[in-house]
Amino acid sequence: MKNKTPGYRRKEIIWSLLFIAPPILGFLIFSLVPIVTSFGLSFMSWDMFTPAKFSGLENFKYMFADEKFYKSLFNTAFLLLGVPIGMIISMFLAILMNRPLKGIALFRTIYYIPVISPIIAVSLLWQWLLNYDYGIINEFIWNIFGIQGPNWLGDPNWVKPSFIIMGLWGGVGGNMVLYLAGLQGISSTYYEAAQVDGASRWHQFKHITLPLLSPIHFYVIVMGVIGTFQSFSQMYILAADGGPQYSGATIVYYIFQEAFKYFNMGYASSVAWVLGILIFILTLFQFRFSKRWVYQD
Amino acid sequence: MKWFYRIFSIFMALLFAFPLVWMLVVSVKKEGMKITSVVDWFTPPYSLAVYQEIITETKLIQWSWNSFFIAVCVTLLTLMIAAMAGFVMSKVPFRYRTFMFFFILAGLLIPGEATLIPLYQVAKDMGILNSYMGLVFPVLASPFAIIVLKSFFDGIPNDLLESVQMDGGGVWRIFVNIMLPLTRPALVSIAILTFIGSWNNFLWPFLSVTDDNLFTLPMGIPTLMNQYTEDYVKPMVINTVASLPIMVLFLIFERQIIKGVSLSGIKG
Repeated sequence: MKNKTPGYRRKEIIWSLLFIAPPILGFLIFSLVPIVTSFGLSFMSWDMFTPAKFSGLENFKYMFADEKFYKSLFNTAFLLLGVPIGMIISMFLAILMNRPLKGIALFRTIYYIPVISPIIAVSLLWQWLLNYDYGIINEFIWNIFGIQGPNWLGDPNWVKPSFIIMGLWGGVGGNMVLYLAGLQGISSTYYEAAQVDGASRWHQFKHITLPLLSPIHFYVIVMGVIGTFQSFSQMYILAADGGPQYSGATIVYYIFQEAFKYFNMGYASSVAWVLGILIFILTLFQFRFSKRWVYQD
Repeated sequence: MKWFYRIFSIFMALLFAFPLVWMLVVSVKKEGMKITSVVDWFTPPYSLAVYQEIITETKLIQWSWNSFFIAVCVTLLTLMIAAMAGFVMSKVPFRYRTFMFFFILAGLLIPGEATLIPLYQVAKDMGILNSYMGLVFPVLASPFAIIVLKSFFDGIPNDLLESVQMDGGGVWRIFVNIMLPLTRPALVSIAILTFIGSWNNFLWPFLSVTDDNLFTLPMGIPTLMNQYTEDYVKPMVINTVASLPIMVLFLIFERQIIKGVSLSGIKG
């Protein structure tokens, strides 16, 4: 009975192949074909209506000379500041949530709801909250401090901080949940032992909590960096045409404009490839570097 | 110290709840009313007049239906595809299986942005731009769901499978009668997360659809933004329509969602 008959085995394999065919087909059609095409396109000039023409490295030459490309790259890098700030806040909130406080579930719900809200709706909401003249945030600033608040979305210096603030509101809850799961995974014996040795609260945090949460830090950083490099929707709503002096455009926004506004499909593909490689290198670097600081059990 | 934590927690929660509460309150106000202080929130009159106005002026009902219909299709198909593939990857060994698994994993490495432009062309060539199919198909092959489900199937002991095999049960029977019921919690988590992801999705629908009969709610939002720049009641109404169902869904399934998110974070 132990040896299966060849017929049975053949049937099993046919079923298995049927089972895994859809994702493989999906990958071929919607990922592999596009990525290969995109690579080819990045060496061509193409407006979608006339046939594509081979143009060698022209696209890349143009890219590295285009001021808007550098601006969007800088803007994206600036927005990365939100990652460490978000980590600190979400870890702090998780530590607060990890105590036996009444109504903890309600707090968690409140922090998490922005995370699942549609980003487009969130962006439109913040457009009004941040409005220079009628926005309720500037109203608060006026009432409490008696000064006129900044022109959040109209001043090139404030557009990116606005994005970061909005991103924190919409993202901290998600990371908090991860940190909370991480905290609950830390055995209390570590803290008990530390207390016996007379370690202060701060020492316990620095030498137990922080290092034992390092796999979560790592995950939060990797996902945060990738997410920042991919951000688009907020910019589309809050920074029309890239915002004042192009201060709100990210790389994806730049790609979107080149491709679907100016129909420089070939050029946009080369920028997309540069972005893809950039994300890949950054992620690889983080994995390499992680061996030095991420605690594994 | 305990008081400090208490007050601080409440302060932070108010800060986080504030924008959404503002949105909900504004959406039931009348157009042109000044709503600048918190006191105004709690002063009537409230009315659903603007909701009615938007329903007659835009295709809000159609957009809501589209959002819902697409999210349901994406969720069901993703679950089916990911569960079948995850099951085979975990339980049915055959030659080249590992190779195929890497093939699926490679999908995680390819940045969506780099493929967006040719994907648009692929969809155009297939004739599925401006169609439900075009909105559903390209987002289905989620390597993430396959990987999470595979790790759940890995946790099911092989003895169970063998006993069914002894009775002459094939792959299909094992899958439907044993695997699916045993991984129900994971399936539920993935289903809700997929539903939310589809409901909120903006970039691909935005690029692939121009016919406003096929708009989803997130695509309807910017159209309203351009039309009425002076008043914020209308934008907040459509915002509420787009967000409220997701919030309610979250409140109902909060436990499963949080569990799903923390699991994927820890395992990933």
